[in-house]
Amino acid sequence: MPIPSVSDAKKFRYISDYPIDKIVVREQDSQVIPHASSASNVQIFTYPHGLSFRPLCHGIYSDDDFVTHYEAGNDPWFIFSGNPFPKYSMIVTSDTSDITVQIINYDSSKTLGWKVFGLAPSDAVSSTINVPNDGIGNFVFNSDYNYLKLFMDTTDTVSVASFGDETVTFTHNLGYRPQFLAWTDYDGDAYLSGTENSMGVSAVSSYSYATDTTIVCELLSNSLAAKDVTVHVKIYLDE
Amino acid sequence: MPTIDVSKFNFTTDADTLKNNGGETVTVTIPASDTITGSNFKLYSEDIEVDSENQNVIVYMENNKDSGKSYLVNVGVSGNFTRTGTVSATPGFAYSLYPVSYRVGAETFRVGVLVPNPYGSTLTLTGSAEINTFKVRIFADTF
Repeated sequence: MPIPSVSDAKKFRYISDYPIDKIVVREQDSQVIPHASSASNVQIFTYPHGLSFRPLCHGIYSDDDFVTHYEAGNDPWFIFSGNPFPKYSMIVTSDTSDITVQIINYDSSKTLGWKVFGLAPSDAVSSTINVPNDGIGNFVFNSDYNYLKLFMDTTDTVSVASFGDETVTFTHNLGYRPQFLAWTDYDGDAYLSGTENSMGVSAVSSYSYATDTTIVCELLSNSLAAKDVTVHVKIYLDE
Repeated sequence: MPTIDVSKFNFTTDADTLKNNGGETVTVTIPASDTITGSNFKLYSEDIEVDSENQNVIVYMENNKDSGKSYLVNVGVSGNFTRTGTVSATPGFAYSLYPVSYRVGAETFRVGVLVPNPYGSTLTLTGSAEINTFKVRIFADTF
């Protein structure tokens, strides 16, 4: 039987040469979110995660019990006085003890629901934890799906000067622009890259992109003080 | 719930993960020298069908004037694409592109680029078309 070339690994739905992400925490909730009359009317909900490390979070939210839903950081828009504004915004962050959902509603008061999850970071300490797996479905492993194959799972820490900027580069040399996810981690909280400013001006903001050889995270300080920022990146073989 | 050491296994069937069950690549073109009336905006967009609820969607975007880069699309990338157009026959007026991606219905996902005109008069966009390629990756429900 021919042995598959590792260079073809991205063609496989699962290949044991490469790790896949592990969801280590999940939270689901809904609350009545009042109309926000200003950007300071952010509603904050915290959920203890009980982990010995900080999970890297993402999630979705909905205004109609998940018939329709939106990704954290990719909010629906509406038009007010000819200008586009987000109708709602939601982000999910984490620290060493809690997952925090921050949500703001510029529409009329309504019930918003959210489903968030956290991935194990590359620096997760060796520890035995309970993992939520009731969403796996009818099959523990299902070959209908493509499993994202982690090519690189790492971090880098830089100091960003007051009102300065820094570029953090991770070299993959895959020769194509792969899927990736990135988080920034500063002042004790981890944010999905790009969502830092969603609830008002934050100390650091970022955006990230892939090239054929690198993943780049551009950091911009909005802070009076220098900040140490750790960028977590997960680079997948998958395109 | 099952118990595992997350640092020790490449793959464990005890832990859920991101399961990619679909995807599409679509192109959104902003025509050359298109015009936007004063203090207004245009949304250039395409809709794609998604086939079930509760999926997570991760979107990347490439722009032909910033070739070789695939941006993770969310609110943070908005405004990083700055162009100059013409207002009242005077060139050099800056405007920004805001990539957006969100659901507009249970089975419809929209990707696009919002272009606001912050000026009081009609803005004529840059003289060459902008081709924005969105790579949409869809993942099975994690709940």
